[in-house]
Amino acid sequence: MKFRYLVFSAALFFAGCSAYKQLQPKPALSPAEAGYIELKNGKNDFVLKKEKKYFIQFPSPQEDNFYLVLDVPSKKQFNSVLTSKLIDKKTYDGSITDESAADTLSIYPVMKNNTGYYLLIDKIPQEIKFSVNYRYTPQWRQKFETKHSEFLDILAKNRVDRTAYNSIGGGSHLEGINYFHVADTVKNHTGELENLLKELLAIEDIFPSSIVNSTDKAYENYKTLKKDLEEELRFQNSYALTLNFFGKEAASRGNPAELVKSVDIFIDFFQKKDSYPSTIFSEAQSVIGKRLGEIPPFYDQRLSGKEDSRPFDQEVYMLGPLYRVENLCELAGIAASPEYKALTKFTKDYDARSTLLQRAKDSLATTENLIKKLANMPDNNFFTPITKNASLIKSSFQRMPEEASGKYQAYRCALLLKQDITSFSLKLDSTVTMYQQAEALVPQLNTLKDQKSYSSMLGMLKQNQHLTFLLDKYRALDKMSIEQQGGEIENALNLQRWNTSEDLLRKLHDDINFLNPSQIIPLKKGLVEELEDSLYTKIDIVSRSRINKFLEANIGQLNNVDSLYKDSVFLPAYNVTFSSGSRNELAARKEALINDLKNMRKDEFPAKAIKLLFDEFTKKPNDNGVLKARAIVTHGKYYEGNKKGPDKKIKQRIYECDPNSAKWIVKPKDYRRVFALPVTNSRRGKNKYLVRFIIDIETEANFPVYDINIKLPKEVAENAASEQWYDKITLNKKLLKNEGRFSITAPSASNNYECQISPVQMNKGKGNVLEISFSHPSFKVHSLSVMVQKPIIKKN
Amino acid sequence: MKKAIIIILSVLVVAGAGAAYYFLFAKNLSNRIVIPYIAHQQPRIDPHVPSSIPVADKLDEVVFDGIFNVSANPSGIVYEDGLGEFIEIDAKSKVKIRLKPKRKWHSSYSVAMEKDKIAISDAQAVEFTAKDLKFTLSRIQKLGSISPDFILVSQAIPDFDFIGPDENDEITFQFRGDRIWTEGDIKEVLSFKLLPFDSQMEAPSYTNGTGPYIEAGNYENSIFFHQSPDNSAFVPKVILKPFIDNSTYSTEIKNKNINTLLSTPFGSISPILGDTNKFFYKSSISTCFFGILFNVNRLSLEQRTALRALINNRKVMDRFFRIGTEQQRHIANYRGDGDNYDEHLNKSVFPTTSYYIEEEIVVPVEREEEPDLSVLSDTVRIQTCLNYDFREELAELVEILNDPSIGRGKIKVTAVQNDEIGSGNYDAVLVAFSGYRSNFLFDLYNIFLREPDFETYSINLQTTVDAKGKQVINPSSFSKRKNFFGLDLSEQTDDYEDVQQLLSHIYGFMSTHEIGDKQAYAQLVDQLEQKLVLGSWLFSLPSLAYFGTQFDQTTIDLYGTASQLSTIEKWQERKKK
Repeated sequence: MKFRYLVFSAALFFAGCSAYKQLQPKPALSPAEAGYIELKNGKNDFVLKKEKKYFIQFPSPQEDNFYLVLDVPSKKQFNSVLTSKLIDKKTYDGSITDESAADTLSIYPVMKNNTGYYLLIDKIPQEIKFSVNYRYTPQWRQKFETKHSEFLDILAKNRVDRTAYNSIGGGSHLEGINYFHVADTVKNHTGELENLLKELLAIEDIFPSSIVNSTDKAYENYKTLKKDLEEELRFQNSYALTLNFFGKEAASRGNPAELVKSVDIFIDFFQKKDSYPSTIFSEAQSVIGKRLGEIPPFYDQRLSGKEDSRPFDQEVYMLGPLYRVENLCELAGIAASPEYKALTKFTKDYDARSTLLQRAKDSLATTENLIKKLANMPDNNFFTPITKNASLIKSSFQRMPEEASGKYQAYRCALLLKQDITSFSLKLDSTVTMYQQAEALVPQLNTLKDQKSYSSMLGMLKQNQHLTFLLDKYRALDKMSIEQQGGEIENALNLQRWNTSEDLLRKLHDDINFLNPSQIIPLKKGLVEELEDSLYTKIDIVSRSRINKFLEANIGQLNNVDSLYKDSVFLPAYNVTFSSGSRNELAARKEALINDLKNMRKDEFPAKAIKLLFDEFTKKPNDNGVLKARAIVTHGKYYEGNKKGPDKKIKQRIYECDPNSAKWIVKPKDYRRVFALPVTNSRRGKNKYLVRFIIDIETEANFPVYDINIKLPKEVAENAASEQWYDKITLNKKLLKNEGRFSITAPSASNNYECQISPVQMNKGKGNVLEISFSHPSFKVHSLSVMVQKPIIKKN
Repeated sequence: MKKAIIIILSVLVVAGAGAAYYFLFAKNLSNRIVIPYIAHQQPRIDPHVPSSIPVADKLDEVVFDGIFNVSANPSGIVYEDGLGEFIEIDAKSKVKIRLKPKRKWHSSYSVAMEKDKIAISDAQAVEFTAKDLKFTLSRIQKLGSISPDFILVSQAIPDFDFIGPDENDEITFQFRGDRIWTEGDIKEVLSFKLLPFDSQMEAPSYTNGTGPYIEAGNYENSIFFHQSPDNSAFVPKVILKPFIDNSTYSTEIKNKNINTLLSTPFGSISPILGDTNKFFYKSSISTCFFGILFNVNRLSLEQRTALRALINNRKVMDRFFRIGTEQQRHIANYRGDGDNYDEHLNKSVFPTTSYYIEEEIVVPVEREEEPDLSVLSDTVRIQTCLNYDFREELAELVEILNDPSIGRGKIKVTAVQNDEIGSGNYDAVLVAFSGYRSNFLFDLYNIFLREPDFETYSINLQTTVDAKGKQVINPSSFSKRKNFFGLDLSEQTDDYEDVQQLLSHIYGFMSTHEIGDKQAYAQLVDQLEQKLVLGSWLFSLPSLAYFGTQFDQTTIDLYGTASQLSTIEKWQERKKK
């Protein structure tokens, strides 16, 4: 299937690309300008065969802008194209448009070239006899000759009658006619004729150079037609201007404003005075001369109603046309009246003064805006151009034209302008002065700012409070000042310069140097309170830190632990004298601080010491364990805990290390690890050890009985077989003896050195104090595990 | 010659007659354990409640199994799997037990008896399940302090319940978390005997067990037990043989009418059983003591004090055992000591052989006071009944107490019918308290709440629930006609508060599972009894069992306070050489 398409496509390609066969006319074709010549194959016409393709090569014209004209009766029976570029007789590049719409005629514009032109013929539906007449002809000729009569007709139809025009003068100036209707008519004719003129000029553009000075008939006709046309157009234009002049004048009668508005039309008329006959000029001069006197009174009336000092509105006051009346007079040869001159002097002077005032105001406003737009504090140079600009405004303002005189000085607008100028002048003077002051002040402020002397800046600004535009820029300074002072205080606090911080805090507290006190004082108050808190907090932190460091430095102190608690480290690091509140508040805060440290002495310090020592103690009981335990107990003496009382865990640690404190056993069957500590001090000899328990286990029994199991360290129990390992075991101070119904099992390797005391009767709901004391030739911590559980009743 | 022939023929005739008698009439007790019992005291078995009939208590071990069974070997107590197997106990005191599958109740067998011939055949199998365990636990819980098993279980399993069984037949008990439970402790707690779930809660007797012997039935008033096909008891039968009283027991064993005598008359070594080729004995701890209980309605405190001082139990005991005479009744205790009479002399309601005295929980006051006879009436009338167990011993005591050298002419002891005892017309009553346990589980109800009836054992325990929801004893438990002492809390008396306290302490003692409480209440009961002077506690009877040498004595272990029949399934007959 694909192959079939391929073959078909190839066939189409080759068919489409088949070559044009050249027809070579005999006699050969001639490019000379002439009438129609038959194109023949000898004596016969060429025969075009069905579906064949042909071309005929036409020679290039001898000059540019020629037409190759083909008279072909069978034009519509086949397809034809004229081209200047035929490639390998198969394809062509570009075709020349046939300008003829006729069915039997082809007109091809051709330029002089080196290759000539090819007429290509194809799509021949059937065999055709190819009958052709051809000619080379200049394009202008073709265009002009074919339309000459038409041109003449246009000219004739658009000629305007000159009778009315010619009647102007001597007091007659087309009165009674409809100026605008006539003018429209003339305008329409003029438009038609101008189009004709354009067409003729287009033909003239393609005249061959050789035509000039020739006597060619068509050329002669051309020249005649053009001349007539131009003369008619000159008349029509003059007539149109005349109609417009007199029409406008007539239309503005009783309407001076309209008269003024039409001044340019009148000027235009008089500027072309050479286009009219002198009668018309004189008539126009006479007519307009009579009307100009209406203008000054009209303006006097309009200006007296102006109620502001702004420059004249051009639309309302038409000053441009008013001033061009002077030109009109000059062109028309009429002398301007003194009233007109006085009027225009006033308007010009007023306008200049008002404009200058407005400009100065705008300039100053621009400057003020520039200052307003400045979001930050100005730099040193900010006011230099501003001051300069303000001075310039001032100097330009001083070049103000004179104020109005005569009747015009009493006009409302003149008076207002005078007042505004006076007022603005004063403001300008003041502004310039303030800008100059600001210009001088800003560098000083910036110097202080660099030094972060915000409070000093505020002081200077407060001395220049009249520079409101400047103060606005420094509104942030209030906050900056307190922040800067706050920062200094914080810095001093961080450096623990308590004196400095307190002085600075006091200074800040007393500071009232602010641009906007009502806003900043509450902030400042808050800051002072915050920093005051910070002062106390820092003193507290530092004091605590000192205590912690003191603890770290002395944690290893296992002897004379009591002396630690007498150290001055437990007093505040600084004695504060400042208070933003009352003396009572100061006293209360100091008291709170002292109490806080006291609390540390009785809570955090001993608690931390106990915790640290206990951790070390439990990790390495044999590393100075006894002394650590005793140190814990001493710290425990000072430990009172916080407001809620002592921490149970801390107390527990103390109890664990205090041989005289009984260790609670409140759960049955769990082995509780305890430390047996010596209560004597023989470092090398035998020491007495003591362990106490309080046993209080919840039970249903009214008379609880328990077995007590004690896992002993081997070194304590290993000689139990030969020597009683304990000195004394008591329950509630009652000696437990290995006799009667009590049995105290001997610890041995076989029972993993576990000793059982059974049965031990206890008091229900009360702590039963079990005390075990033994002696051992060591001075160390022995670890014991004790478990209590009730025995059971057995049947057997 | 003729004379010689005649003599020879005579000898031959006698020998032949002897041989014929031996082969035709001699008693053959092989393959059976034959134990005597008092004919009119039928042993009724309740594995959870003590019985006044000694053999009845002991038969628990013959018929029933526990989850674990307490047994013994020469070294002491051992716990053996019964109906369960210990799996584990976790850190939260959860105890996992696997119930043994395919263990059959005795009702799974059909028993046919033809005279004394017994045939056991399979019937519809009824296997032990967790349901049976649930029933048993609920029964023990319901019995409360009247059952020693209640004390054992309640100290470990407060809810008397378990979870399971799961697919492996495993059940889980939540033991109390107040102690470390050893495997031995757990097995001890779970050693109560199991009843099938369809048993009555309060039956007169229970016979359907899973133990080594099936109760087969009666023949000529003998009660027959046959070894269970599921068990591995060595001796095929156990027979309880009836006798009028215990006076002939020694003769009966000698005459091979029985081969096991669990207690000898007077608890003493029998002179007629001295042939060690034919008999051997094994002693165990005392389980019986004699007491004279004072009737508080007939005797004032003063009189009771005088009477107690009058009755010198040492003298009574000396006479009882005929100490220092040719007829001295020798004894042996379970430790193997001989003639240790003092150990049997009681000075408290708690016998001297009991844990409470031995361990000095209770330290009785030694009194050597002279009795104030003036406060006593001319005759102090003491009654007893000789129609039931310990007839021999009681009769001997009647004679001793009536001896003016003992009672100083003030005491008149008479044997009366049981009904008369019930009427309370006595100043005091002589009673043999049998089956007491010398361990923690000494039974005070048996002494103080037992109704005055020698035939029927009945305890008048009345309890109620107090405002806190706790079960407490009801004062009506002390009712004049409901105890030997005539104690009564229905009327105000001078010693009302003491009596009330006594009742409260007795209940405290019996209902607690706390050892400390047991000990404390024991002291309090003793103190109050001493104060109220409720009796003279005489002495305990040694416990001595005789066996025919038909048995291999090494297979019979009697140990401590355990029942004598605890290891009956292990008893074996001596192999003939």
